[in-house]
Amino acid sequence: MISRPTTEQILNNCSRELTEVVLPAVEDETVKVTVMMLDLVLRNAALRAAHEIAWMTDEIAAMQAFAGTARPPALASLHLDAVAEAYGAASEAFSAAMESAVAAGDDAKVRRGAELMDRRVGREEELMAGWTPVGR
Amino acid sequence: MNEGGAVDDDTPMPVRFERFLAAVEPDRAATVTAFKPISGGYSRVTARVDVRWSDGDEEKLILRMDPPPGKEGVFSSERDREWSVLQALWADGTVTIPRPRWYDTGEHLGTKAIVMDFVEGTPLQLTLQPDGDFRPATDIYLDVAATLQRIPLKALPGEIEHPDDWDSAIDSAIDIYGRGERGLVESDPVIRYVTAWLRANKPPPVPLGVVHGDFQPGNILVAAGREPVVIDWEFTRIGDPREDVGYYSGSPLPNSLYTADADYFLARYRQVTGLSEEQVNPDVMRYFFILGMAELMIQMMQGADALARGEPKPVMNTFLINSISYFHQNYVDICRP
Repeated sequence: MISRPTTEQILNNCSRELTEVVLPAVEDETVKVTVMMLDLVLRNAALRAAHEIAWMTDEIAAMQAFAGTARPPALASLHLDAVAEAYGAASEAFSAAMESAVAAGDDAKVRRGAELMDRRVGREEELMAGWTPVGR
Repeated sequence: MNEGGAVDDDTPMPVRFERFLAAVEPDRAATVTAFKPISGGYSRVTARVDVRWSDGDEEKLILRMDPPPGKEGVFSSERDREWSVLQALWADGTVTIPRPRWYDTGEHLGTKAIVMDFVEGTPLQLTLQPDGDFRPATDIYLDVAATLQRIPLKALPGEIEHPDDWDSAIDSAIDIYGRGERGLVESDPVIRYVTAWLRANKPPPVPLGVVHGDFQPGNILVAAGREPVVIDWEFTRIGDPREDVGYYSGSPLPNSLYTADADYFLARYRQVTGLSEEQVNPDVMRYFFILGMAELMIQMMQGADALARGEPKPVMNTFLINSISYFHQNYVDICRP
């Protein structure tokens, strides 16, 4: 395959074209808002493409360890669907372990789990591509 | 109109609206003199309609309708239920709302639609200027919150669930997260965590009241010499009234009345409601911020989930993944032991 430009570079270039070429030619206010949303979604996707497999594989191991999963299933492959499937399974194990820790009042374990969540939501923040809420 | 009674898709909405008015007011004909869509809402299609009647009367109306099938937004609610709530609130009269006029189940307008009086006024949110004195607006906002608490629960229609007690109301509100998350294609550890945290950290109870469901200053219209008018009752239910104010306390809306002066805000809220400091304090507000966000958060997550299931959706659904991430961060910070 042609690996360069990377997916991130391709999507960011689409974003640039959208804002520099398409957006100025749009007159309908509703469509303008849609184009601006598309631009952000493209930049979100570019960042995801650059990092998601590495981030998910990293978190899968940490979440399964937190949950005490004795033999976490091995990744079937590094194809995105396979990694997302394993990430989903690890997220479920992590969720159940956190629920138990909160219900048991195990603050030490909850704190450790919250640190894992910090990593997760920190990466979510990176993927926001600088977006901040503007209100409804 | 086609054989099934539905309105043809290409019939202009002003024409449909005139036909609708002819049906609900058969003794006088109406002419639509202006039809102006109102932008900004995430959930409903809204328009201001100016009407001239054959008897010479002129009226300004608000048409609030479901999006056409296939063009639904991220947020959804039941128009039948909202219409019942509006009628009940108007009949009760404790809180001022625009007069609900007519309801179309879709026969004339092609989709469920509520027609109400247009009310002159400015959304309280738009009166807030950076560096301005927010106390007068805070007083208005909290006075309205206290008014909502005075609405007798028996005034609300049967379609609204009437919880047996505070615990069951809170459990039901928490379960919006629990039930919603269980229906997603992928587990969300943050939502599972906060759901467990909400169950384990219930605040002291207060009497149940009417929960507006989107109680932000943008939904309070103000004008000189008149009571504030509260709009957008689509998410209304019976619950802990602190859900409304807590929901707003963590809102990312600019010029927040809460963050501008939280001490004043909370003291005033206690004063107008008679609630104690144990019942109303910053920790309790954070609790009810998470709880009050439940419906909107889950609907945003369901919007993203639909994409994950391969359903084509407007770009708004994808765009709002950023909003989910924003609230994830807030939730984890609030629940941290």
